Amino acid sequence: MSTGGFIINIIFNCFLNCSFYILIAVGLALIFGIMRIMNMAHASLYTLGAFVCYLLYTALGLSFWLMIPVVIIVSALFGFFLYWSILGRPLTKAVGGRPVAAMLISKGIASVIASLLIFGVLTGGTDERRVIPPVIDYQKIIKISDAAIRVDQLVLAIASIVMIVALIYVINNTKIGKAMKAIVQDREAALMVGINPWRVGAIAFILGTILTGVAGFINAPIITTITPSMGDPFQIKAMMVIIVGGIGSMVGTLWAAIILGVVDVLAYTFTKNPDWATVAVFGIAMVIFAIKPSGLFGYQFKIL
Amino acid sequence: MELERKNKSGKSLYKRVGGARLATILIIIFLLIVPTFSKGPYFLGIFIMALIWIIMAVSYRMLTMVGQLSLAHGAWMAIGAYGSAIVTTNNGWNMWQALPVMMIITGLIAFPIGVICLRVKGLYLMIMTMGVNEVIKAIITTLNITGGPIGLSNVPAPPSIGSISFGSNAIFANLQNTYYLILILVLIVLLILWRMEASRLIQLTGQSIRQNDELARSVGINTTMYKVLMFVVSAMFAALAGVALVHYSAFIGPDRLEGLSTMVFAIGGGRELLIGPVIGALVFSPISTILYSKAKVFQPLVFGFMLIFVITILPDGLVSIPARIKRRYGKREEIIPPQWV
Repeated sequence: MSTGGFIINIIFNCFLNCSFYILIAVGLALIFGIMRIMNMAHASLYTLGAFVCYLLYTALGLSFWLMIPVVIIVSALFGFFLYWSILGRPLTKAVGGRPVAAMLISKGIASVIASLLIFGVLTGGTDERRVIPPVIDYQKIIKISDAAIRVDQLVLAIASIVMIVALIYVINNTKIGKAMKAIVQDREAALMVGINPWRVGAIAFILGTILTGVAGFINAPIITTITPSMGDPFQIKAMMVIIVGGIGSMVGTLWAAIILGVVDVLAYTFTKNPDWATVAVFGIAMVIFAIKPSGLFGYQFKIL
Repeated sequence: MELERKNKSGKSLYKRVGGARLATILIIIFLLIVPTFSKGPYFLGIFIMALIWIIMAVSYRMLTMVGQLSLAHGAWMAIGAYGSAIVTTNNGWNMWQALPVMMIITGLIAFPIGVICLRVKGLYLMIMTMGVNEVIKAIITTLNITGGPIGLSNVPAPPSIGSISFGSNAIFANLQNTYYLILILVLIVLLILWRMEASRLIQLTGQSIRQNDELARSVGINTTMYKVLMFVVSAMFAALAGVALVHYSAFIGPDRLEGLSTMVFAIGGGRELLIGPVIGALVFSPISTILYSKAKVFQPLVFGFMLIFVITILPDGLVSIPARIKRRYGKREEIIPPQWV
């Protein structure tokens, strides 16, 4: 492969990887900013999205485009259920003002969800590994100066970018999005002008779960093998992204996701080993953190 | 500790209930007589694992003493275990040579990480240490010398002392001797920690850092130094637990690298008293050991419920149960809400 094709491939992979980082981390950052809960069960939604994709494909044989609304509805319902039953008002009442305790409880919930996925009758009993055939039928390849790009991956990357742009639009231009920003910036002042934190929190939570569920759904045909614990590395990476970007800063989260995503792809390209890519990502995160503990764009919230 | 939980009479909530010393003696006697009523290697193995988890939980207590929570404890254990496994199988060392070397190496690795991570606390610290755990797990999984994702097996049992020989999980003989050997290690660790806590300097400094970090710094305590010191020392004791684990179980794999269960044992036992983590490890670790060997699919489910249970219902741990009962059925006292780190 020529150098030009190599570089185009790397750029495309960065594009794809960064969009996943952003999809997962932005939802988590939104939830954290509004509810002040580091939701460790966030990546469970990612796993759930992948499993929904698998189920729909094997049981019903739906086409990819028909699955998208189903996944969005399932993620939204599950997110609403999670918020209403545990992570919303009940958790805040139980451990409000103790972020570490809230985080550990959500970790417990993530464990329970993972084991329920193992036991789920629909997901095939205790067998942990399942293989998804590529969902999109047209496995064509675009050649840009002898760089091969799979069409389905391109479509998925564009789909995730569309979702990110839609989210940014919602946050910046709608009333509920402005309410979210207000709560993140100054909770007391937002309450004073009559914003209902529970309602805004619920909407933010559901938006976050939809983004993550769709990320898992989009990623499942690319990685083809799904397990109940496949979300765990993404959970830790997403939390790293939030810390590196600076808590409470949406711009920081986006930039940190892009930086860490690019580092991930470059390390993987040059070492051909996902473990060294993990080491590189966390190493860069540690370096940034050692230089600036409040994150790239952050000012430290009083959450401790 | 006393400052933290005073009631109207001015006494500590748990000191007042008393029984901590009695509980300690009873637990030590129980641990001493365990091999007499258990013949099978499986049953004894559960208790050997419980002893190893006691070292882990007790070393974790050094972090909770200065009010920090780390999730990298499994990594320190794994460094000790892998290091000892490598030098004993490849280089022909024995366990007693590997033990101090691995503790020092783990301390040297933990020191710079502690310096970087302990600049923050609470949630941030937990996420950073989680990242450290992932990095060390990735390195261990990808290197050849550590056996990759399969791990290392056929690690030799502890070398025999005189005529007493020790068994391991690969050789089902003389497991009782191994049990007593690890019990002696546990008692030594407990003794060291007990004396450390009895030291006025550590006690008062830890208390002040735990209760108000900034205030402690403003009166001239070098809080970062103390936190890093505790972090490094607890990592070294975790490495000791790792060495004991690998020579008992004769096997080490990357799935040992998680710090959450140590934290559940340490906090589920209670952070107020030194006996707390011991009780926590004795009560909770058999559950996780049995699940690990018999029903691995149930492990995340039970672990998730255990975590939720400990944090919502028992945030002060098992040692707070007598005080709670007394508070409920005895004289009404002012209720002190649990303070989380």
